[in-house]
Amino acid sequence: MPPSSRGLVARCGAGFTPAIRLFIRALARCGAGFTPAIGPLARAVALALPLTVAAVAPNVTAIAPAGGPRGTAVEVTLRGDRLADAQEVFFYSPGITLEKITGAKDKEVKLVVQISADCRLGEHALRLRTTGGISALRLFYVGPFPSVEEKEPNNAGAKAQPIALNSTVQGTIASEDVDFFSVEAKKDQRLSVEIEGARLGRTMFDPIVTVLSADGRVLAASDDTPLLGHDGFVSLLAPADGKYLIQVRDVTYAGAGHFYRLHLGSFPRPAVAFPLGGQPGETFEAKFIGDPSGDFTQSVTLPAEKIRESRFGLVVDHDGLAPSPNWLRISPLANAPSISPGNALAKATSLNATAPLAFNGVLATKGDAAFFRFTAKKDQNLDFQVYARRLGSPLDSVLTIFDAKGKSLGNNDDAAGNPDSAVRVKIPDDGDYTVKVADQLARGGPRFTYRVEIAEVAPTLTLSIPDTARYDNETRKSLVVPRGNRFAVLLNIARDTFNGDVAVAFDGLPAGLTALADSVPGSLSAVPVVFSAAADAPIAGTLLTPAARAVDATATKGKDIVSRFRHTVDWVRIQNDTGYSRSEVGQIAAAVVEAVPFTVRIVEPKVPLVQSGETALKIIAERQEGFDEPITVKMLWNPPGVTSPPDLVIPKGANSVDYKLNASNKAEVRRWKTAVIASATVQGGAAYVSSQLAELEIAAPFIAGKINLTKVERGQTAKLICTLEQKVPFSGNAVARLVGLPANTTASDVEITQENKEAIFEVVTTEKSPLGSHKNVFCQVTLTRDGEPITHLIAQSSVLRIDAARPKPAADNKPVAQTKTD
Amino acid sequence: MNFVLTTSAQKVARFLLGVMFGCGCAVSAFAAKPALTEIKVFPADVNLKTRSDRQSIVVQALYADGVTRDVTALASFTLANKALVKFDHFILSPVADGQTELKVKFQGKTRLVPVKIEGAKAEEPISFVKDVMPVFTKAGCNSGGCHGTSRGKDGFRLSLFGYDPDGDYHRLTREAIARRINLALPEESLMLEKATRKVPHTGGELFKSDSEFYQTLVTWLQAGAPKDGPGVAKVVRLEINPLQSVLEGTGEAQQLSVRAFYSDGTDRDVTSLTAFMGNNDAAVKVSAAGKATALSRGEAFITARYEGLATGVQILAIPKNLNFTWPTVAENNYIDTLVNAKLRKLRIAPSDLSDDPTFLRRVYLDITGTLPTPDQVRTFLADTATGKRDAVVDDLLGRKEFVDLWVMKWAELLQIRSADQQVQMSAKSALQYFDWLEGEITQNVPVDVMVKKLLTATGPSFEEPATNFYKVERDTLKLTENVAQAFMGVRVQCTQCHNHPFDRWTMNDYYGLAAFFAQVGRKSGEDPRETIVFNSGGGAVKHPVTGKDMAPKFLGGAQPEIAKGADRRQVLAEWLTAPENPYFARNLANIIWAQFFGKGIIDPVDDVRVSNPATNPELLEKLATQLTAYRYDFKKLVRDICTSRTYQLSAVPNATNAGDDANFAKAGVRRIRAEVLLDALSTVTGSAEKLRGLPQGSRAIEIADGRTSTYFLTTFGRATRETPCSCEVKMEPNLSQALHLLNGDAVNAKVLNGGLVKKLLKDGKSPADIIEELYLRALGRLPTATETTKLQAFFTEGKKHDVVLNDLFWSLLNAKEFVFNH
Repeated sequence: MPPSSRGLVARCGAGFTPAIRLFIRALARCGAGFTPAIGPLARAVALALPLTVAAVAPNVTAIAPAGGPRGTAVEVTLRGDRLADAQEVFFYSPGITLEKITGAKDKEVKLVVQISADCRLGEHALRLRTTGGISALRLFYVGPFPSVEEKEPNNAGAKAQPIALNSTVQGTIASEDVDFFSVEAKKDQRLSVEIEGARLGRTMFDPIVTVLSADGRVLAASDDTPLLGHDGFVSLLAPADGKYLIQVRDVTYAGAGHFYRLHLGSFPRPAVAFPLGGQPGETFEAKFIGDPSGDFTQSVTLPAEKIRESRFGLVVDHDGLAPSPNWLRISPLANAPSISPGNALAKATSLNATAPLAFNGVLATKGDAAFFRFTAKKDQNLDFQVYARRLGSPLDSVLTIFDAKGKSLGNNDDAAGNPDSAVRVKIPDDGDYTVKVADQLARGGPRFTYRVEIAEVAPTLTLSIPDTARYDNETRKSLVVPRGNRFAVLLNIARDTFNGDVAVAFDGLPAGLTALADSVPGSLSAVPVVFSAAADAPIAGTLLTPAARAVDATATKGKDIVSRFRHTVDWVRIQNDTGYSRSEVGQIAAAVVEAVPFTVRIVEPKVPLVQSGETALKIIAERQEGFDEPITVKMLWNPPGVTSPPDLVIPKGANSVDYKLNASNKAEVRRWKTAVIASATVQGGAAYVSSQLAELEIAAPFIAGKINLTKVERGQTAKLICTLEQKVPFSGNAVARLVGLPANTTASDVEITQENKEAIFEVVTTEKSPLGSHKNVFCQVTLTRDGEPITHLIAQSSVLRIDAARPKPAADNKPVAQTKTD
Repeated sequence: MNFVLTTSAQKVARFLLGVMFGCGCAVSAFAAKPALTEIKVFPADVNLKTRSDRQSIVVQALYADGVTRDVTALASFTLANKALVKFDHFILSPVADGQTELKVKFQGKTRLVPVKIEGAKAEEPISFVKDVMPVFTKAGCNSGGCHGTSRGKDGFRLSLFGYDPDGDYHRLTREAIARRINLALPEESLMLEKATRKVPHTGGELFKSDSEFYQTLVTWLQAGAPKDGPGVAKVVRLEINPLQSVLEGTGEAQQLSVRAFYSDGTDRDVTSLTAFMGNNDAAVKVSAAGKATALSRGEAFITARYEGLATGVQILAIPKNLNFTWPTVAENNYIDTLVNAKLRKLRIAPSDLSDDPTFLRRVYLDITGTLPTPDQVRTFLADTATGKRDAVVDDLLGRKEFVDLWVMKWAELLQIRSADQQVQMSAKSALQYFDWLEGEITQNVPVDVMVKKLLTATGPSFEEPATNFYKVERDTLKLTENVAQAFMGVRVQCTQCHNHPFDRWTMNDYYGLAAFFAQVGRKSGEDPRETIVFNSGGGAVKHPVTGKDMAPKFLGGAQPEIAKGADRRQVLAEWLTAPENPYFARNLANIIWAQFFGKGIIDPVDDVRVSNPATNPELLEKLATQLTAYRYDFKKLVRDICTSRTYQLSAVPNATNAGDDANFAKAGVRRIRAEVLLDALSTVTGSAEKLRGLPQGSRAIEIADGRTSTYFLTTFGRATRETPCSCEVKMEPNLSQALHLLNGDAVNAKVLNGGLVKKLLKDGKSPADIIEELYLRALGRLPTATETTKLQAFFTEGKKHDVVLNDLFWSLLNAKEFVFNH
């Protein structure tokens, strides 16, 4: 979290509009417990006043149904707030389109979506766009089967709701609720059950599905699975003709209003594939493991075009379609032929290949470890990655890389919150190296498939927009620009093995919308970007992929630079802000929305902000006739070494505010670009705009100085000398002022010129001046150029000591006991 | 409709609350002159080494009635060879090397004690640990109230009971140089002047300057206050004799004799250096010299402490000339035999057998945690078969409720509860752990196997719920303490910081045991709520005094050889659950016993220590042996217990057992524990309780998560499962319980909500029938003739029958007879 937004939360909304304040308070509260509902955003906004205006983003709280079968048109109802001006739905993946909006009210919008016959099964992310903004990310699920609604009461086996095989039940689990369904199956018919519960991303739902015989004996149960995470599946061969019961519940009987989609049928539901990946466009025979009728193979052709996701979802087709995909990795690395591994370092099997390469294997038995040898060249910088759990394998990998002498060059158990391992090794010499794959708990079995990729480290830039509020992945993270106005985001750039300057681009913005950003120096990992919408820009929107490239092509040393954008949405958090379920998208939503009645701009200073100095940035608000709400402004970003208050308010009736910026002595000397974000309540809702991208120059100071410890007796006057170091010539007079003096202690300002070697202050104390060392005394030197002040804060942390007055000599000349001084 | 305590209800209540238990039966008997059966001489063999070695002799006479007498002074002693040893004041001291015999004769009984003398002229060097430190313990210098406290007293600190000899040596000789000891003038050493109170000493005079202790210290100082070399033998075992004494009449005394065995194979009479402590000074008082004197009827356990070790003996005191004859009672099995053997010694007669309704209610509550239904009571009362009680026990043992009860008890021992920090111990983990436990007990998995599974649990906690054992407690030391307390019944907590004050455990024992858990690895799973437990193969526990890594050592046992990286927990589990383990089976047997008597043979069950011994060691030993022989199928042991006559005794005391609560001479009257009481109230009234996180209709006994509670359960002292301590379950009745039953919702609301009286009236039952039904439901018996007569008075003209009957029902549920198991 950037310091600015930390401040925002800490102040708990002071200075914000009431709606925002509520919002922030709601967010702060979220720290106390996990979020049981759709996410803090939704809850918080629900607390705000109802809105009817289009200038504010819509809030979608529910989608009913949660999904639908492919090859059909499905009527979908979105519920929430500010939905009356619904314009379109952005789908992040192909195969699903908005056919029409059949009715829109403030709290509800009805849509028809067309799901193509070849639509990818599983999760599809979407956002609703209105004329006022873009909703938070929501999910819709596509399955192969017709949908049936759950009917209560079905809380006991005897009351099980009968369901035809190969259907999807859409149901709800209430508190301590148990739902039963019954299906008819023939002996040896495959009976499969898969639930979409936790995946729906709505509530803290951890479903468990159980298949029982008609007389209530448990045949199989599934809680969590490596393939589906918290969702489970069961696939078995029916032991006899007859009725079977399927039970759904939350694993702790907790919570309420858990939605789920339960697929019931004779479909295949393999647990994992082998091999776990290939090259783009490659066709190969993949074995699917874990079907009750036995493993089977299917010819797989990986998509040739580059897909953004690192994994490819393949829906198996084997006497029926699986309701959701199995996962395969697509990578440019060629698979080394599958060979059986050695089971000890000395017996490592040679892959007969030179890095970069990929290979696939299975830790088939308990205690298994796989050793493979490969060749690498000196100075190759290699990334070793295990792909297993991410692709549905139960393996909890441990990866070790050895050199020819058996010395470990690196090992890893878990990388980045995932059981899969990753190691980066700089190859010391030409020669043979060995990679060892083992299970952390020495487990094994036919499902323990894995894939290891040994790739040359590629310069990578990962773009993201930082969260602007705590426990909130959505506020100000879509590009929503009011007509004739501006909006800004801070774009974070995480660099991997690339330190050069980069330029960012937002290709494919809607008509009339332009983006402006400075290039990003190699030392920086964030850049402010300002979007401007023409006054006549059409109200429209799109999804687009921000990208970054090297400014200087030679800086990449001939390697392709990989740029990707990531927006991660935590659906449900467990206490301590640990994500429980989350989704990630690789595109950003952008839209031109209805105008708002205010704009803000920064008056660009003509003079620089000096190191160890301060300046006041003037922010001017232009209000439309009749608009007089307070406007909260906030620096979008401060250059390194610059600090500012978290936010300020331009109150009712005012049109400007001075935003004080302080630069440390280490602030980088450079011309920077930044902007302020402004928000105000517009007809009850929060609207955001930004200033232009304004320049802010950081310069070296003209003058520096030092104050030696100065002592003064209480009630006396002392000279305090600030020794000056003239660094850059300046014309005219400058005013030096002592700052940080204790109470009842004064010193007059002193005028200096570029010739002065010192500034001498008369420090006047009184009987009330506090005794002791006052350690925060410094000298403020303000010189003027182009009619604007340049303020230096020199001789910082200097000390003025005020001592007690010495006792007057006694009349009888006797020695007096020394009084104790501080 | 509000239920008001009507006048009739008050009367009924008063009537019922008042009638409970009355009579006591006198046991008529007369005394006979008991015959001498045997004499015992302690020690049985004498080994004298070095010139200063001494051995005292104690002679005990045993009589036919179980009474013992110290007849040392009355016996005659004859030495076979007076040239080898001197016998004076019952103390043998060496004269010359050789072997001889001491012949002890008393009233016609003779014993021969072999005496072996070696190195009769040799001088043994004085030892700090063997000779000096025991003086500190015996004189109380290093006790917790004096210099043994963690900060010392008056500027001088000794390790508590001498757990740190090196530290004590340092503090005496080096810490305040030339102050505490004076090698030039040993008698003027401060340590001696303080102890003899030649200078003021807060602790007073501890010994006189002509005492043996004084002499020992002076000798040590004269020798130059030497520190023990590495060759000095360590004490490995203490022997105390006689092991049991039954003293008849006030003033009757028995001298105790303590022998220490050393690592070099030698032994030494350390009676004079041993610190003695009794646990019941009102019955038997022990002098500093080890003479135990009977004061009043009762039993006492004398703890003897020497160096770091402790041991103890039981002493019974019975009144003289007690007019007692053992009544002939049936002995159903070994339990009765062993309980009666003890009772005979104590001159206590067991109570009569309980009547059928009392037995039935008791056995239902104890085995299943439920009350018998009216039909079950009627059937049982009508049954005339002789083996009907055994048949009921067998029937109940086969019920699910028996499993539920023990799952609850184990859940308490294993502290199954979700933690405040969701992530650490989530509700899901708690439920999974509970379900696992239920599975184990349902499948009758032998307890040793189950405990082994817990101790060696490895894997992801969601897949291997036994690993929650290592999730509940993550701190190695606390885990160690829990294992000792739950599975061995030993509280080693004290020894984390110092040697155990009331037991033989040292810090070495503590950290040696902790070392078994030093290599438990834990990592977070993909789900933040999941923990993966594994053997990390590395890590150690350091001894805080020496700073050294501790090798794993069994509590009170050997230091096993464990290969590097091997799972230490496996080794511990094997040792713990081995049939020869001194704690495991005994602890389990005791826990099981306590469930049926409300009191352990060692009580509390998890506070096994030298100073808190079994009241009937033979019984405990036999139960443990049986449990092992039953392959830890505790159901069989429960059967033995419940079919014993001892279990079926009435709670009504007789003249001899009225004052005894320790020897199972009568049934204990126990308040029904919280969960069982709530379930009983729900069942009896037909008004089910809704409990959080449990499916509708669940019983309180089935609560999986220790955090789930209700006001009722908390008031009645349900275990919070925050510690493994048996003290978690509070059985003490208190005022808020009474008020809650009388005035709270528990009884009143349930009586009304259940609508039982209404239903019975609607079914056309007469008031008399309903009264009978209510009595059977609540108390498991029919109303007595008196009760029937008195109750009839309430059903007069003009009184509403439903009101009176509801009042009666309320009164029955508030009767002590309902709330207590008797």
